[in-house]
Amino acid sequence: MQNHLCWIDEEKLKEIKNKFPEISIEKFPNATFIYISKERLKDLLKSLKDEFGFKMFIDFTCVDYPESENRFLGVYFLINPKDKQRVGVKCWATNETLPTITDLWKGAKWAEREAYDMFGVRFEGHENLVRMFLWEGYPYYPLRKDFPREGYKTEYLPSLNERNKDYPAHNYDPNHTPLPTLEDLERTQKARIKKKAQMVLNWGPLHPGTHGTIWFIFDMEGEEIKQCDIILGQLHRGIEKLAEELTYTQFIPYTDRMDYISALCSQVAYVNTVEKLLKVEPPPKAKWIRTMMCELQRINSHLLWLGTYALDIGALTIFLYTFREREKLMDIIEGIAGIRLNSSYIRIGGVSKDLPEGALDVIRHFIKDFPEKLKEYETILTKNRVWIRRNVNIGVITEEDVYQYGLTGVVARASGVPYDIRALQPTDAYDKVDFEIPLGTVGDCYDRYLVRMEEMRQSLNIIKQCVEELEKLKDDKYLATENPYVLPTLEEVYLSIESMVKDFNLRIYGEQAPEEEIYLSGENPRGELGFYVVSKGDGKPYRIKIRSGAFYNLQIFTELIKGRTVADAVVLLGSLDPVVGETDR
Amino acid sequence: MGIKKVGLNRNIKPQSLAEKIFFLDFMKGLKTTIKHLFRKVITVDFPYEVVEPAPRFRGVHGLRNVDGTEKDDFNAWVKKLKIKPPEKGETRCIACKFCQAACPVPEIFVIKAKKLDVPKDHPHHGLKVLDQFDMDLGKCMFCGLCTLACPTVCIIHTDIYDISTYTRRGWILNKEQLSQIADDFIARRGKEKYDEKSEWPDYQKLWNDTDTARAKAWDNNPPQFGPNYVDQN
Amino acid sequence: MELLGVIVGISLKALIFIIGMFLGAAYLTWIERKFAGHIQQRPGPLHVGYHGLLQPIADALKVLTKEDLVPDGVDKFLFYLASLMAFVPAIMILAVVPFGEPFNIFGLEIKPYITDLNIALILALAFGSISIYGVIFAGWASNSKYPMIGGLRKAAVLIGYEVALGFAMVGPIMQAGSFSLKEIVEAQSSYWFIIPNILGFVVILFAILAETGRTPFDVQEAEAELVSGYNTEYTAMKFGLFPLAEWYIATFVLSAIAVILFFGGWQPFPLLGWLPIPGIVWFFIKVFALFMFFLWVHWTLPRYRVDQITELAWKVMLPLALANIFIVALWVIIVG
Repeated sequence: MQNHLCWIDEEKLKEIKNKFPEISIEKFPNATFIYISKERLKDLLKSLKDEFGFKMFIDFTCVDYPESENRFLGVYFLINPKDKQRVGVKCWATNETLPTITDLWKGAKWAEREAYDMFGVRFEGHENLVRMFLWEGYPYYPLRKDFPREGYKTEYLPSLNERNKDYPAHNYDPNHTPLPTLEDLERTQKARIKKKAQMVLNWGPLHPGTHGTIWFIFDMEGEEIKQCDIILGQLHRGIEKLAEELTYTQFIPYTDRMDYISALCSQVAYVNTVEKLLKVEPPPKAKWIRTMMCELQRINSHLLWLGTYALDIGALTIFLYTFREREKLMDIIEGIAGIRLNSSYIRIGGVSKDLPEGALDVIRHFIKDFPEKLKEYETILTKNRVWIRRNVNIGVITEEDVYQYGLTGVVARASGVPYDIRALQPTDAYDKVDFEIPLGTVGDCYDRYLVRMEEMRQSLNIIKQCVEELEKLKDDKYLATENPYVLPTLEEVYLSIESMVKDFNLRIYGEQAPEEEIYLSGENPRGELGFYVVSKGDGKPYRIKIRSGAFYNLQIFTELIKGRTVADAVVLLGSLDPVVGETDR
Repeated sequence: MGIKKVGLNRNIKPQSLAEKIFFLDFMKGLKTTIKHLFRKVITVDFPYEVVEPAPRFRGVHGLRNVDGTEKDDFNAWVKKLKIKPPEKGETRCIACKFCQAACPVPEIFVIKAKKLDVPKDHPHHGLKVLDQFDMDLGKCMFCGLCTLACPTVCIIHTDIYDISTYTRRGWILNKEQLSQIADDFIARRGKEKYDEKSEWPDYQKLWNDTDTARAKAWDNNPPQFGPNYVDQN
Repeated sequence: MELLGVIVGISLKALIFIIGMFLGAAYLTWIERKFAGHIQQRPGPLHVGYHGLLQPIADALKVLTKEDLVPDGVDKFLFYLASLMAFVPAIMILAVVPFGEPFNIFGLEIKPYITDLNIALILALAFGSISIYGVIFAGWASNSKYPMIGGLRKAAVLIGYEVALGFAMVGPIMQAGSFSLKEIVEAQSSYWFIIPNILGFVVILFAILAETGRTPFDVQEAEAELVSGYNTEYTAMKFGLFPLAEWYIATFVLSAIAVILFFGGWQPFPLLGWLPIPGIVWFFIKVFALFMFFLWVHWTLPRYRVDQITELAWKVMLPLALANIFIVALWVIIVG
């Protein structure tokens, strides 16, 4: 049994072939898929779950191949946590339908709704198949290949711009894509939940307590919630559709606008995926820099979580104390990368610019300064009786829930499942640093709080080791420019003509990736952020599916909140820590 | 890489009876808060005090003019793209459209060059000059890919971050405005970013050290830099 | 003639008290904002006047000139009545609070209190209970879901803590032997009533935090849950009266009563009686100290859930208050 996560091995494939002789196996260097027909799909999945141990559900998506006879291909990803193996299962959706797998894994409910919303694939047996992001009554399916990137402009809204004869190039088109009306929104709300109890309360979408624009619908009896459903999509920007017309480098600024609080971690996860696809190896200095920036961003994100969580529960000063620490971190990131929040700093093959002079001194000062601030927060909160009463035994998540819903990140670790991508599939310099993984036992909100506080300390430990190592690597390269897929640095462009030609070709035509598929993930502070890239051989990807951790983590909210009050809803939402940019993409 | 167990009865001891009766948890929290009453304020009183952005900050774009610090191959580029050789004070842009090719949102740029209207025997006959360079900053992401693509270090990021206007039209900057912004910026802070050969040195400084307002953000305890920080150019 | 003089005198005194309380409450907001700001390491109001001293006046002008929206579906009579009913009783308690001993100016004897009833404490409790109606009317009349939940929550909390408050006050009454606040203060000339009444003092602290709606009990305007609780639909001055009445005037007045009951009112500190400071100043020093303590607790602790608050009121505070009565009875028998 290997130490790191990898794809399914040969013996298991032989056993599966014995049981299901009609399957065909597709092997890429970085992914292994099993093809099966629609009739036997559920049997295969059930046997994978029960007999072969692939009990954790990771992702489900569809890919559109308009020139083949069954247009849509459903792709399932599963993980065996004990043997540390991944497998992918593909199935053609004949007649644009697929059987639902919500009776095997409850976490597939939202994934199937999203596939229905984006592609129009219907799922037989799904309990409430409504659209996930768009409103009921929207006439198109956006991620199909025949839907244009600009949409169909059918509404005439001339008030969007003033026409001016001087600048004809920058006028805004008076026609606009369809917009939802109030009746549409009401219809969406009624389709989601049927009122059974005393009153229906709309919590959101504009509310100071939900972390962003999430729309909750509570069906309440007095103060107790009987049913709940969530309407997402207020921040849906169609990033997966936009990716189909951009080169791999041009997509990097989009990845850090998804989970805007931990932008560098998202970039690192994406660039790791593309580097594995293109077989590019970044130099060691770049790996250490990336690890260090990722951990700095993790502390940043957890500090924001702590501030807003304490603010929602009522401790108002902790919010400002954590933001004081965040200011220091954002100053560091501004000095190194250029912008405080949406820094597009990571490139394929390394990082875009070297560490400036003075960065390591500043980071060392921060490392010395931070542990006493952490102790301050813990003094005010951890043993406070009000805090304990608000957090203990609220929202208990069991290990079985983790496997059923595909929960990852802190939510899984607080329930006792040691699932940390940094240890299971180390990229960059994570296999060379020494850190501990905090694990909880009960899985309630208090455990999640403790795990996150401990993670901040461990991140500080990792940064210390990175700083020591980077001191020695002062004069190394930071970008693997000899690789044909990597954009050269400016000096090389000016000095040699081949670099200039390579620069030109890479920018205009994109990185010509081999015709393969890959799935790889990274550890975001919010969960596992996975990228499934299908490439058809030219410079632009054919399909990118972003498996966002916050989306799957939010799904368990509807189950946990039954029987609790609105006050607990705030605490539970805060401890699951969604960021709307990532749930809605 | 080990595992550390946390939890209410693992590494946090529950409250003892004495702590419960005498409200010791409240007292400790209150003591921590009251200590902050006597510390100095960490907010910066904008707009009377301004924190200057770092040298690598990606603000509004600017188009640089020829001022003697171009690269060695600048003339080769000019000749290759058939541009009229610019004099001191004229723009460096050679209308190669690399910035538009590198940009994720190419609709930002409108770049046009037109042929010079001179008679046949003029030495500059058949050469082009930059006619229109519009940027719609309302669509821009400020990612920096265009600045890394420009072969003559013409388009740069300045440190301006407030570009609010009353209409969307006001975000569309034309050639003259962009050149003015770049002139301003180079006169103020060019030395921090570029050396004599317009190069973008990788060993830039983290922040400029003329900044006292930034010390406030560091809780009035700013970091001390190493010995070789001061003599970077 | 005598009657006219009395009436004019009392109305003048009442007017001075009311205007003084308004200005005082306005500047209490300034103190709170500066205090909260410096705890969070930021300056608070800084530019309006020197260090923000004119900020309360600017706020008052803003609140008075804002547009006053009244939604269509509200119950108009109760809607308008609610803000008055939250505000008026808080000021009325001032009628019975004595600030100091009578003193002489230019031969006139001035008593720094409006009345000296022999049931002053019961009157104060009664006025405090009327202000619950203001909250319930506000939540009901708004005809919307969030205010209704907020109003009901606050009503549940207030009922529990009124009972605890009443029982905790029995201790000093037994020791002084009368309900009149002036006589309670005069009975504390040898030692303050805090000594046997520690449990009662703790119960009164929590009860004041719950009555005036400060964390850890500010459940009715928990911003993350209920946008703004029962005053979501209120605008302009009707909105302005709610926090003014609850957070500032009621806190001040209830702290004054707590100081009178436990800390000796206008009696000087035990060993500092030789300082030439009049009684009124001692009184104000003690009330401000207690007020600042409430602010300090508000800006530090997180808040409880509603059912936990009511559980605390009935299961913890009420038994503690009853235990306090028992202890004081023993004290009175033994010590005298």
